[in-house]
Amino acid sequence: MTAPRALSCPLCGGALAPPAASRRLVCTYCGRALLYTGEEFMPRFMIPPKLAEADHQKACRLLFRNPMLPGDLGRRAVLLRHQRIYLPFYLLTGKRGGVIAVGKERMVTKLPVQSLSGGAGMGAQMSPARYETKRTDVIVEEDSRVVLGDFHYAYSASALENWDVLDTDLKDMVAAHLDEAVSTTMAELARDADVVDVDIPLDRIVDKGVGAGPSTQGDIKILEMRTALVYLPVAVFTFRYGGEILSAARDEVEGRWLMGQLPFRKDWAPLLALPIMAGLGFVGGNALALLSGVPGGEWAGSPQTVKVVLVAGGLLGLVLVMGLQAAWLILRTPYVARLTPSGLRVEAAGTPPKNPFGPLNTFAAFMVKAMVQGRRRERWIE
Amino acid sequence: MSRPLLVPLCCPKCGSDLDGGPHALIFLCLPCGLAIHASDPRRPYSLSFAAPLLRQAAPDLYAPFWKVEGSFTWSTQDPKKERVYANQRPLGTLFVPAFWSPKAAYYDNLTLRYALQGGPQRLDGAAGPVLDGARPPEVLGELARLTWLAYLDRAADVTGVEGRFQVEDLSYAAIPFYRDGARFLDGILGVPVPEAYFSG
Ligand SMILES: [Zn+2]
Ligand SMILES: [Zn+2]
Repeated sequence: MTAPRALSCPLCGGALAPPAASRRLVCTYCGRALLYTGEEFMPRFMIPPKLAEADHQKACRLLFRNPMLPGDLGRRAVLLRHQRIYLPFYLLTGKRGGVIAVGKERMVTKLPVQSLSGGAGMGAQMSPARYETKRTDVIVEEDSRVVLGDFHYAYSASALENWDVLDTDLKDMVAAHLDEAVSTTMAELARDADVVDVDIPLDRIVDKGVGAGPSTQGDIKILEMRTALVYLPVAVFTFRYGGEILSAARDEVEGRWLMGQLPFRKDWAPLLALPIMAGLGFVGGNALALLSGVPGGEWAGSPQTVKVVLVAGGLLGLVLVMGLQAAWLILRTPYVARLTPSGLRVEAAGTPPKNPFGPLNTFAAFMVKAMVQGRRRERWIE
Repeated sequence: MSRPLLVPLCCPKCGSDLDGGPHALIFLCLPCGLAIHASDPRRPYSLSFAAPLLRQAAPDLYAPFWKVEGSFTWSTQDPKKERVYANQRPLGTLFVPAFWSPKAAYYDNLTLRYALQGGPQRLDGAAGPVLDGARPPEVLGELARLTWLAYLDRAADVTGVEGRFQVEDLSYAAIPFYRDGARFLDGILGVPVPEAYFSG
């Protein structure tokens, strides 16, 4: 449902814009009070931002110290823009009530009847009934509960494409801070911030959310429902770092980083080369030891030196091929550190360039196949 | 034909403009003492201001309540329940909040308090600005019925009990509240409610 573009006063005919803040408006021509009855009208609330500039600065400093990010990020990043945006949420509130049947389970312990009717004195105590185990029965009693209470649900009112945020994180945050919400208008929100457009129709929320929820639980009915929009303030920081433009968003109520894309620390690539070098050294060393006849490793005792050298050479080649490709991937794939409510996550921002080691891979695969098949044939003969 | 998008908001008695804030669905004419819900502008309810019982000073705010009067009747096949219910002290007039509160469920149930301990006695208090009201009058009958059933359920389980509430009179009552630090106290019983109660 969309608002009509222009309305006319029923009293004087003057052209009026649909109201934004209140259902009650005053005609600008005749000055009389009018009621706007359009169903799409919704009161607006916002959760006031709570974090000061200093808090944001501290959070940025802490974030930039993350070991996944370049070490000089904190020093070299220049803040270009600090902007506030408001994210819209539908708030559905109302009363629901009804009488629901809940079975109440009750444990009933039955004492053996005979012990009461038995003889006197010792006889009674020795009667078999005395030793009969007490019987415990579970009786389900009829029980009803009268439910009468308020409900409130928050739902994202914008699809937040480009936002890598879990809807539930934000919804929960809005719900948790509802009692701080204050009444507001679009003009007030737009004064110092960008307001994200509502692009999810309310009908869809009502059908999927509230309609499917409490109203179907037994006899509990939604007696009345009101819809409103609640806006959550989010601080968006834009930085320049070298030739890159970076951004990060942090909610201004709880101070959680919501999203952002930061550069991944490239100097991890040389570090990763260390184990590859170690592997090369190990394989190469063993091969040399075998060639020179120095005992060492499992293969040392083998008389078939030539075969072993071939295997060692093959492995050496494999490690080299893998190492080259790993280095290529790390250095050439555009990795980014993605900021999410649960922390930083390293991801490839795009597809890596075409692998130049294609022929080498084919050769390596051929070698592996040859070696495996060779061993199999041997076993087959045995 | 659909309802026009803009309708005059004027008092059906004196013709002057009705008052109401940004979240109001209930609009008031203070001189005539009338309240009108947006869903049916031709049906006025009488508006009154409850006189504070605890203080003399003018209240910090008036919160609107629907004053629901009527009779509740029940029927049950179980004579034991019948006896238990008959011995219960009947609930007095029900004052149901008409204002919107995002978290009302967590606060003191003023409706039940007033119904048991006595609500506003005199409705001749001085007029003053009233918080926006929104609750539609159509739901009050069912709210009253469930309030009664919940009350009886505390004495004996209401399984198989039929309850009916017949609304006899509906009016709009503004109840005085006084600021007390970070909370408010109602001017009738002195029940504390947090500030957020009125945040709508
Ligand atoms: Zn006009
Ligand atoms: Zn009037």
